Order: sequence, then C-alpha cells, then structure tokens
Amino acid sequence: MTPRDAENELIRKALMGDDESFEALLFSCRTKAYNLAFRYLKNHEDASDALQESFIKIYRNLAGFKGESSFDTWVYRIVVNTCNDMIKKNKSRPDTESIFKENEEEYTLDIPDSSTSPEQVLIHKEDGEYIIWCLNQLPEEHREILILRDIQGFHYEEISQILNCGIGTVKSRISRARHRFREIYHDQVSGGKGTKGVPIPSKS
Amino acid sequence: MNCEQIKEHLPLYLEGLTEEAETRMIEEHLDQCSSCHKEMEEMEALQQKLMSLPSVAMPEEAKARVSEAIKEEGKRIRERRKKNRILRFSSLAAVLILGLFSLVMGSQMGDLFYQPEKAAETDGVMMKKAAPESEGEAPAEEPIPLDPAALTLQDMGAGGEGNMDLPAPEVRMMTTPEQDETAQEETIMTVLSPQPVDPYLDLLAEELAGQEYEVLNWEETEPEVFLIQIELTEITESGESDRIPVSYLGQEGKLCRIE
Repeated sequence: MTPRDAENELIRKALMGDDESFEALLFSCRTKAYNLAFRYLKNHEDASDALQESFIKIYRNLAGFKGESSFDTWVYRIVVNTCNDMIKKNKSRPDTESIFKENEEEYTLDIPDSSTSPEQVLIHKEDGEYIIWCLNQLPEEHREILILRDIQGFHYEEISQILNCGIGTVKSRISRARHRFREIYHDQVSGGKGTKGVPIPSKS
Repeated sequence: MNCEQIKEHLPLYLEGLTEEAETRMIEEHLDQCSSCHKEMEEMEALQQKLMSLPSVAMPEEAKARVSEAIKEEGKRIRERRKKNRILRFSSLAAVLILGLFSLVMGSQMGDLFYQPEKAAETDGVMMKKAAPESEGEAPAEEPIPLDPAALTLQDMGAGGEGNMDLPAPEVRMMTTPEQDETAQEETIMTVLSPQPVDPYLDLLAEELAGQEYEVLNWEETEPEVFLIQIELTEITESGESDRIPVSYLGQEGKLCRIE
C-alpha cells in the first residue's frame, strides 16, 4: 500500500464518520498547522480556535478534497483562510497585541503599534521577539508571505496553492515583503523613525 | 544595472531565482558596491533570523479540545448515516407493506371493498418515491405497474415463494400481516412525512439514474440549502469498482455538483 493509498483509505473511513481515521489523517500536519495559525494570529488562544474551526471545516468538506494538491497543502490552505477570516473579524478591535504577550511571565509590556522607544526595541534586538515584532508591523499581505516562505519553509509552488495565486504573484510579494521588512527592522534600530508614518513603497 | 535595479533583484537573487546572466551581473556589482553588498547581507541575515525562529508547541489543552471537537463531528456524521440507512430501509419496507396491503384487501375483504383505482394510485406513488433509494430493487426503467391485479400477483409471488432477495424482517411481516398492521401504518406515516431534503434526493436519483451510489450524509448548511455527500461507485479500467466521494449542493430547487 503506497502512502497515497493509505491516505485515501483514511479519507474513506473518515467520510463514514470514523474520527480516529480523521485524526490519523491530520497527525502529520497538525503541528505545522498550529504553528501557522499561531504566527498568523499571534497568540495561543486564537490559534487553538482557528485550528479547531479549520479541522471541523475539513472534516465536513472532506468529500470536497479532489487530490489537486497534496492533502496537507489542502489542510494548510483551509487553516490560512480561517485565520484570515478571523483577522478580518478582529480588525474592529483595537490592536494592542504584542509579541511580548507570548511570554507573559517575562514581559508585561504592551506595544501598541510603533510608540515604543528605539531603546526599548534595541534591548530586544537580537531576540526572536524583536523579529516577530517587526514582522507584525508589516501589512497583512507581506507578513503572510514571509510566514509561509521563511518561518514555515513552504516552497513557491505550495504557497501558490495555499494562497490560490500564481507563482509570479508569490515571487513579487516575497520580493516586496523582504524590502519592507528590512526597512522596518533597520528604521527601528538606527533612527527610531517609527513605522506608522513611513509610507509603504509602491514597487508593484 | 544601477544600484536601484540591483537592490530590486536582491530577494530573488538570495533565493537563487535569478537568471544566470543576471546572477553574474549582480555578483559583479556586489563586489564593487559596498552599499548594495551591505543591503544584501542584511536581507540575508533577516531571512536567516525568520527561518531559525523556533516552532511553538501546541498546548495540551488545545490538543484535547481539538480532539474532542473531531470526535463530536465524527459522531454527528455517523448518526446522519444511520438515519439515512433507516430511511432507505423504511422506504423498502413501505413498498412491501403497500404491496401486502393490496394483497390483504384483494384476498380477504373481497371485491366489495376493493377499490382498484385508489390502490393503484397509492402503489404507483410509493413505487416512484422509493425506487431511487432502494438500491436497484426497482430499477428506474421498469414501468410502474398500474394494474392492481398485476401488483397483487407480483407480491404474492414475492411473499409466497421468497424468490426475491428480501431481508428477513420483511418476510416475517409478509407472513403475519394482521398483528403488525398498526406498526406498519406507523412506518408508512414516518416514510411519508416529507423531509425538506427529499426533492433534492429525488433530483439526485434522476441525475444519477443507472449509476450505483450511496448517500452518506446530508445537512442543511443554511436555511433551505442542503449539502448532500454521496459515494459513487465507478468501475475502473482494470475492472475494479471504485467508490468516489462526490458532493452536491441543493438550493432553490436546483441541484449542482460541487467540484
């Protein structure tokens, strides 16, 4: 039995309502799916909600999986869509979300957007937290592409399937996102210009 | 290429996605231009930083919650399937019971109370309704018998000689009609009470006439919108039968296959 056959067999059983088969089907991609949701939504609570919602959606629409991409890629696509929906819904809420909240025992400092002083930022410069803070300053489209490409390590082809767009679009988004990301990172470190007033370069 | 163009190309260069000639040009420029070289190094370092971010562990509480939700959903799917099987079984039973009903009327009550037109009409309706769901026991092509005498004969044959592949419970009902009459009437009522999804199941039967399929599940995803999941049995080139999951969406009286 090839892995593909084994996968099809699990899908067939899951369609009959066998939840153990369904869990087995998701076993290999669950951690990555969770990490994806966590990077999109920035905290464990929302990431757990998104994962639960995504998995139930996948279970209900399992018959809709036609094997056009790999099963895992299909799962990530649904997770990404669910996260983006949640982000849209939460847009009305003021964003005081901070990467420092990830380690609540160590930091209690909230960073609403760019009001942090360059000194504070410098303290954490070498931390992964600072990197994530910079990442979170990016427009959603740029942030998303760097999460998929660099943090999660998806290939261009996979990203194009997950985001349902062409390879060319993926390339140009990655390109623009890298430039913008570098600018944010070095602006904060060198001059503390802040990020809010800096216009996004229109290199489209 | 000037500095601006080089910088523009840096992300693709770092991914190894530039053309050979471009790569050579970029590298020549980087050797001479400290500003571009610095930008390239910064960009590469940031890429490395993102790549080396540790992956987060999924909290145990979240794992348990997701697992529980999946179990619940599995249970729901199984219950739907069970309900569906019962519905199909009842449809088959109803056909047999109605056949029996005309037999009883015909033989016991005699000609005095027997109303051939009415019996024929009822049986015709039931046969039509049950046919798509009874897995080929009554092929759609077969003309619906409208002659009560023909129906009676057919049913007598089925009950008396047992030459149709009938499950045991129906045969038992055939042999003790009087005792189960109330129960049978209840069964008929259950089957006849219309389900909102019924018209779509009928449309599905029309669309898939002649093909073997099984309705796995249906749900009303929005008011008056039904998602029907079926498995279609297809014979592959090598002669093996293959069950393919297919979904249909029924709304506004129309049925469409979801790709």
